[in-house]
Amino acid sequence: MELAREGFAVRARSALFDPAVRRSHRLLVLALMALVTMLVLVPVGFLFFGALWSEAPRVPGGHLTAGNLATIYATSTFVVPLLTTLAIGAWVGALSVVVGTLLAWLVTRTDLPRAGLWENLLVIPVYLSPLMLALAFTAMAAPRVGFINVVWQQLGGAGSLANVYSFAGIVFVLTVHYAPFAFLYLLGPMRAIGADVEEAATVLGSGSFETIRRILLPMLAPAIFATALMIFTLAAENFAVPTLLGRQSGIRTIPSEIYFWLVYEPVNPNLAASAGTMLLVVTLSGIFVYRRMTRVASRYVTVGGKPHSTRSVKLGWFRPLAPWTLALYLLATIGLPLAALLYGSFLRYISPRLSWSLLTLANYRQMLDADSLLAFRNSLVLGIGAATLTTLLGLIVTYTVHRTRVSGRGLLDYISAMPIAIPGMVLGVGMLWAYVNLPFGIWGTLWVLLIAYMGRFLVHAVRVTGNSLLQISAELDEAAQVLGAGMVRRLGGIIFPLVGRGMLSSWILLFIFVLNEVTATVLLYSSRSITLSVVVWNSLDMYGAMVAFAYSIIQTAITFVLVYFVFRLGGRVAW
Amino acid sequence: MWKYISRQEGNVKATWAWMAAPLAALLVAATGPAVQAAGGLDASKQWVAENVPGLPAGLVEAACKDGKLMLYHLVFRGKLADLIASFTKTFPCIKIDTYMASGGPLQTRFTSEWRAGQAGADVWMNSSPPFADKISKEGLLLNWTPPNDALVPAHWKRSGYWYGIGLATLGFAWNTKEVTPAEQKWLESVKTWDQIAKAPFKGRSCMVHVRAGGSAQLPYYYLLTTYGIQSWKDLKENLEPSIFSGAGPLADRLAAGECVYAPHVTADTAVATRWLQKAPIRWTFPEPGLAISYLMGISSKAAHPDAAKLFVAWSLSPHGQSAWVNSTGLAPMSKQATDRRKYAKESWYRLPGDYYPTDWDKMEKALKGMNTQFKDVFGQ
Amino acid sequence: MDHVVIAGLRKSFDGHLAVDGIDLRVKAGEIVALLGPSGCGKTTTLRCIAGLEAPTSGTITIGGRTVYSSQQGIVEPPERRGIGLVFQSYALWPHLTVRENVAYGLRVKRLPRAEIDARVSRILATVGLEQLHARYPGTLSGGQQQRVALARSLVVEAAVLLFDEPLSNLDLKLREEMRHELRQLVKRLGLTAVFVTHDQTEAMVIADRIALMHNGRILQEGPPRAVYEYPTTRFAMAFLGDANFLAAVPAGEQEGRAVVALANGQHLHSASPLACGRPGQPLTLAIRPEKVEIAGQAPSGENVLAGSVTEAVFLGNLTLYVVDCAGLPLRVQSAQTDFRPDDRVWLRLPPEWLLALAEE
Repeated sequence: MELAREGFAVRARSALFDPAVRRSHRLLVLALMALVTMLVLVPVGFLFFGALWSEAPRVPGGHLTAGNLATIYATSTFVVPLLTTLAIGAWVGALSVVVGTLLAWLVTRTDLPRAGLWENLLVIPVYLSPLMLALAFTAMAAPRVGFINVVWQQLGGAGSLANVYSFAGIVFVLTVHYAPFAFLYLLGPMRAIGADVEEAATVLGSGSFETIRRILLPMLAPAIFATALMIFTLAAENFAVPTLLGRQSGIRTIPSEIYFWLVYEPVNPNLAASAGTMLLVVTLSGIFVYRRMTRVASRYVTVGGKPHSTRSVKLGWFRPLAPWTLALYLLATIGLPLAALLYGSFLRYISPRLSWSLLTLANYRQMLDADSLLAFRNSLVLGIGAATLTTLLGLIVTYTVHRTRVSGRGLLDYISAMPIAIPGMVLGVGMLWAYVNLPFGIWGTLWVLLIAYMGRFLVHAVRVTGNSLLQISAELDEAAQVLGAGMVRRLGGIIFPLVGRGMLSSWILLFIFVLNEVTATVLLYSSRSITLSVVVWNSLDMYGAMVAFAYSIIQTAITFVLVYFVFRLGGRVAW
Repeated sequence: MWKYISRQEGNVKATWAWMAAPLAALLVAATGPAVQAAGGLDASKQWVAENVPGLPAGLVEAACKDGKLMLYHLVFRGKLADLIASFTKTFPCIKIDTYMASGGPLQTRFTSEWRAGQAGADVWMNSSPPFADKISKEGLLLNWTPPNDALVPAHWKRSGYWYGIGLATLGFAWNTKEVTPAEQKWLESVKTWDQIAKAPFKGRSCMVHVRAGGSAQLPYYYLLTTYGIQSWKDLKENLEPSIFSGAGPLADRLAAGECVYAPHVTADTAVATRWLQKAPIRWTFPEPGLAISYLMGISSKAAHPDAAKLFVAWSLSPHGQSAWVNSTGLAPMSKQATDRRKYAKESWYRLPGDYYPTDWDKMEKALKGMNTQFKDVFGQ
Repeated sequence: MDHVVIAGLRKSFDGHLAVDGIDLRVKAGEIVALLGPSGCGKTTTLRCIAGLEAPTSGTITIGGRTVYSSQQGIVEPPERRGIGLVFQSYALWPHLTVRENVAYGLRVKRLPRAEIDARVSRILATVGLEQLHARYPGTLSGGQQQRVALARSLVVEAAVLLFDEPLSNLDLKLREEMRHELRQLVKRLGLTAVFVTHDQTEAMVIADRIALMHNGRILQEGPPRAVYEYPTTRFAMAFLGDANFLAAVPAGEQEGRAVVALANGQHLHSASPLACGRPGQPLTLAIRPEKVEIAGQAPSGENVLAGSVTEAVFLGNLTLYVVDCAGLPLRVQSAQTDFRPDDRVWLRLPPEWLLALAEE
């Protein structure tokens, strides 16, 4: 019946004329549509225009052409890069979800000692941008001269133990970065499932593993699928890792091709725009599947009014071993690269030879100029502002999509998800084209970046809060509605607190995304709105990786402190 | 009573005096900069009269009226602080704002803004002569010839539109700690480009991808047009090089010793940066010199056109050329500049005598075919 | 006075009619149960009344005010319908205490703080939860949660209360207690209530009137006893209790009562007018097991069948027998406990309880 109800809404008469839909709801959806369209559809629209046009927008003498698309899709040149891109996405998506699910399960469902501490530690790889991780792992595992390989040779090993310049290396580095995303995405849904669900299964004689396989995983299916899809797309659109690690071994991906078209002259933004549409089809069909799955939304509701004390699974003999396993995992994925970054940040240049003369504080001194301080301030303002606004907007969008019946809400879902499929660098071009003649002196200010970040990252807020919202019974909302509470009041008093943890996850995620966002920012910033990420990005070219290492150490520290306080703040949930 | 008042009067006067002193000081302080600026304007004018005599009278005043300058510049080693300080010391009435990006984003950003009618850049920089020519033709760059135009060699400018400020010169570089004395000897003996592929560094070499901008394309282009495709195949067969997406990552890995030898790379920029950080690196410029000039032009929609003109004229002056060379690390493009770069003082450092006269248009047109050939030879 | 009036209510999902033309009137102070199996459209009907579901067509009037009319284009949102709704899942807000949960509706109405406190305390006392007011719902038992949900709906003093299977999550004992309690409470407060349930006993205990639903329609409506004793359809007969069904054909009339012939040739009388039927058309007759009289000797009178006991199940207050009457198995409930399997017995099927039913 739930399915039927959802079906009705999809087919409903136009929301604007449907008397069954309240006027305020219609206005809300109209406003949302307008906002999301402005944030997402305008830049994406410019990109499509660019893909189909012979010149950049506003260039006289341009004409409609299929040439760009034909170059990308109808020549054999890009078949291998495309397949490589998809393969990277698929591997990273699958591995991240496996790791993330396992970690989330350990932290939320089992009697793991000090689970709260682990929860904070396991998220750390998210704080480092993929670019920094790639550089750190290069220092660790470059053939011959990487620290790991140097130690290996000292121990008498022959050749190189690890080679980061490989398909496996790319997948590894991206998985290190994205597995914690899966972990973050799945924490909320995993936690929301009442222990009774597991207890019921256990009583019926099913073992822990069996319970996970037959009960937990199916219940989490939409969340897991959404997470895998998102990470697939993120990994596939990532340019830094395959560009830095793949070039040496001849691995080409679509984003690393796009990098050439946009960073080096002669630029070809139109071709880049064409290539940028590549993942859109994959992602939108993924979202279609996700929507089919969540149509039967009531199936996944786990927070009714029922009590639940989670963390009921006894690990048994594994309990004392679990922290060591996690520690080992953390050491490999974050301890070593962080150590490499920290060590590297005190080096004049990276070298496998250890020597006092290599050490310097110059990299940190570099940060003390006025530009960096301005960039710090801007990044913090943007991070906090964009994370807050986008999370709120994301929740409202997801609420409209999942909890109201106005038509057009499905469209909202698709539109808000589009930017994730478009490589950031290309999206940046679309945003440049779209926003360059914004009125009121917005162009060149922080506001443009705020708008750009909201558009680019809205999808994450929608998904993360959506994962949490789906776990909350619609009846909790309806109960308030029947008692006379309007939508705003319900959002504030019922929905926000109930999806609080999801909003927290979303906020942190967005904050980190914003802090690290550089590919679109380099096209949109100005001297007054310069961000930390741009400073780091440019410092790579200006001084080499070492100064960037120092920046990312500081950035990681800031993020950690901030996230810690946000968690402390948000952790005070009484129920 | 009167007495009392008169005494008071005296006190009042004294009070006035007390109050007037700081007030006067404040006034002096407030007018001080103005006085100084007036002096600055005179000094500025005098500098122009001495160094760029042909500059129209009144340009300095007009530029000061603009008061500001938006400079869109390429990414250099370090900030342009020294250069800007040097300019504003002579012209204190102009404040320089900057936007920094690599060549591609600079092109996209500048053209997008220009076409949307946004007054973005006043002075725009790039490293692609063909692109600068193209937008000159379209009217994006202001057609203006500074009176000291002649100070820039013809090959590094398009008179009336854009002017070079320094050269990114190509050379081969190596890690001095990772080569044997014999190899070092061999490296020191290399003088011309046809020798670079004969280096004994099979599997320990690295190169930049042909698509990583004009300075990456130039050596490939030169080799191809001078020695034919075999020269590329020699590189592949003799060196089995790792290919990097840009000079920056390559220089990092060269410093780390991951690769030992880079047959061609923009040495004075990326590689020299690591040298300055004391990495064991050295480089040589074979003959003929291969270089790409970093160039600048004035936007035809500049919001501060007079300040922009003054900046360009200053940049072409010997003083300006020296400032550009010494703050960016680029090689001087003319004898006008005084080269005070640290590595230029090293005994092993020698700039090429002659520069190869690259036909930028031809080179850009060749890129598409070169991409394919690159893929065939180097597998990517 | 009719408090809630539903006329011609239809609701389709994806072309499938979940509610197919419901007409229902609920008098002020009356409790009406919407009874039916899952999927019969009862919850959808309730949600339409509440405004949580938008009907496809029809009208709904609450307290004389039209809250939904497809023709006039009236759609009042739930928050303006002045109703209370108790959910099956209770839908208690886990992040609010018992007191905050209950006070929510009053806060929404912006009542003065003192009045809110007083009313919340009063209603908590009424449902016996005053001790637990500071607890979070997650720490309460199922029965206590149910009371909180009830208190939350009652405290706003809506004239119409809607219940969506509110007792189905409780254990049997508690459920039986709550039925009575709920009915008394609603009656004491003089509220009008619509109560959705799939449990016929619950409906009969709580409701003044039962509307039996099937396939989106109301099959039969009336006081519990009438609906139970005189179902008009085979579905109603089976749904409301245990029943013996007998296939038969009309075999004329005698003394104004129908005579029918069973498959085994036996003739029976039925007081049911429907039983006259059309000659040759098969009929369904039914009789509830407790209406069948069982005896060790052949009683006098009509509709007597001889048979032997095949099964005897002791139920405590009653015994259930299955009796084979010449190939026709009949279920009998009786206070008599002494028959054993294979005993020869006689059954009497009183004509007034032998009902002829419509096959829908």
